Amino acid sequence: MARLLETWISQERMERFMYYFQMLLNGLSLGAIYAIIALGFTLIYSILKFSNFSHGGIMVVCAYFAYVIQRRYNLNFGMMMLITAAFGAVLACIVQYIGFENLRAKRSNIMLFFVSSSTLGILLQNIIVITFSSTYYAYPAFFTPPFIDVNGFTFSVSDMIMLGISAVVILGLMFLLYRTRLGIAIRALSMDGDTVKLMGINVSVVVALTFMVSGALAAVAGIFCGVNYILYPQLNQLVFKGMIASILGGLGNISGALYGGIMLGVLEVCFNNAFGAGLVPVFSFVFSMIFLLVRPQGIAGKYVLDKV
Amino acid sequence: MSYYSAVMTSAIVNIIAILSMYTLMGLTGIFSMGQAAFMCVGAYATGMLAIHSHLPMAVIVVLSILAGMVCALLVGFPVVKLRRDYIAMITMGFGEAIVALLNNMSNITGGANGINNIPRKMTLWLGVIILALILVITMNFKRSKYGRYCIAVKNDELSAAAMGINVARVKLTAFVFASGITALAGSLLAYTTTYVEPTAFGFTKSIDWISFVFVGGVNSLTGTLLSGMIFCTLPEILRFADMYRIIAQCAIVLLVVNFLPNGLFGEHEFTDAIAAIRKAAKNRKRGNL
Repeated sequence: MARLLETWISQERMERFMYYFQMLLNGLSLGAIYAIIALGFTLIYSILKFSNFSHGGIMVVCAYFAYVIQRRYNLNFGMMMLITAAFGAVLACIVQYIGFENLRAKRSNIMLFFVSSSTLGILLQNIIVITFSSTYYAYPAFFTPPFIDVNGFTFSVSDMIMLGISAVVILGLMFLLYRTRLGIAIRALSMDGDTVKLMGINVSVVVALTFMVSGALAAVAGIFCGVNYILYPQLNQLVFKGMIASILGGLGNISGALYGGIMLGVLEVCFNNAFGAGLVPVFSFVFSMIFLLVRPQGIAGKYVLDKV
Repeated sequence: MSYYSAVMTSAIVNIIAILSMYTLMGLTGIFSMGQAAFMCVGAYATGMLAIHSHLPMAVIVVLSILAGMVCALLVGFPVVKLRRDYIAMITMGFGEAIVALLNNMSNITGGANGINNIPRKMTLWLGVIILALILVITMNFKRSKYGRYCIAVKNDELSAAAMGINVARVKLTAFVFASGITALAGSLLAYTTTYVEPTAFGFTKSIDWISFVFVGGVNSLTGTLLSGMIFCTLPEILRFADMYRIIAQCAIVLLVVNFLPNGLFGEHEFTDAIAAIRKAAKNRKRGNL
């Protein structure tokens, strides 16, 4: 039996297994980033029913903010993350106040929310372009050694740590949404705004708090993007990945955003290995078209045509 | 070409693209985040045909428009039945996919270098004539049966469907129609600038167009035209302000969205003013009698 197992686990099989395992791990860590973007995006979508493109802008500003405070005060990774998350929460609150408070009070058409949010996204991106110019920045190497070696296969330490932190963040978010009073309020608001008001909940406060949570998620996602890629103002456009993820998962569905993000990450790594990095957007696009044709409601969503 | 006529020509090309966005956003309420990709399709079709074939300009332009419309049909078909956010997502994905494809098929499209040496056949007067033509077509589209369907769909899809309007079909029609105009703008762009490259058609451009339409007025062709004229020539006037230009533009859009939710012109058209004057004149005549 032992000999049989030994011959079955040949060197070649082992190598192939490790190759796929490595790919899966890369995909999971990329997917975790997408999932965090998608969660922040979906939170806003679920309460206000519009796609919040300013999320990307908040991500970029937070990523640069983290770079600046890290440089100035020489913080470690955890400290930097916490401070930036707090900053992201405040920033999102400001963005909400400038962009959406007035529209919400007037019950404006959903398209105005779209326009307002995408304009704010571009505004935040350009504030970064003006202050830092379009050159690239990079975080210092937080993790030494950057790679660990197992049997000739290298695993990136930062990927593992990001995967771990993402898991913690996602669990924290789930706890917030399903076990606290604020979470109940947010979920109730996502079902029906008017009824929630009648139940004695201050809608403005809940909306502001939801934006703060989503801003903190954007900050985490921004730092991860900065660690994973490099810092540049167009990181803004990664909100688009979060949008695809949340649509594939089912728009407005929290757990759907999680599944969608991880699926998108794993798929992109697979496409990358099969067709090369340049063609990844093409295959992602074709895949999402086919997916929407087959299952328009997403992985976990229920499809309803709602009133405007 | 003198400096001013060059500025005016490129402004006209952009205004044509903004008019297409008006049909999408202002009339139908489709939020297309990747409309610039159809401009890209038109520009590349023109570029490739102009370099590799000896067809006359008119034929090339028509073929480019057709290319844009076919792409719109393929992209729009799966998503018109769904909510607006899906169209935003798919069009944005289409934009990214097109840029990636153009960058990677370097043997046909020239990759990141783009296509150079397209003959410059665009003149200011040709631009003015085409713009006037597009204006008339869009105005008639707005007044036609389809235009009214579009407005109904924008305001409420459910009640539009209840009135017997085939919502998905109306959306698809508007999308294909508008993308044809965008592709025309792309084709003219290729003839104006004499080169095309993939990075010029990002989603920032589409968002810019959307905000111009909103500043002008959600339902007003006149407003769209006016804001297009202002915002397309503003960059040249404000060249010294460089980066702050975009900040100013965003600030204007935010102010308009917050305090004038219907845009500068709202639902009013230039023709309304003429009609009002005519009516007043008629009344005065009657009073004289």
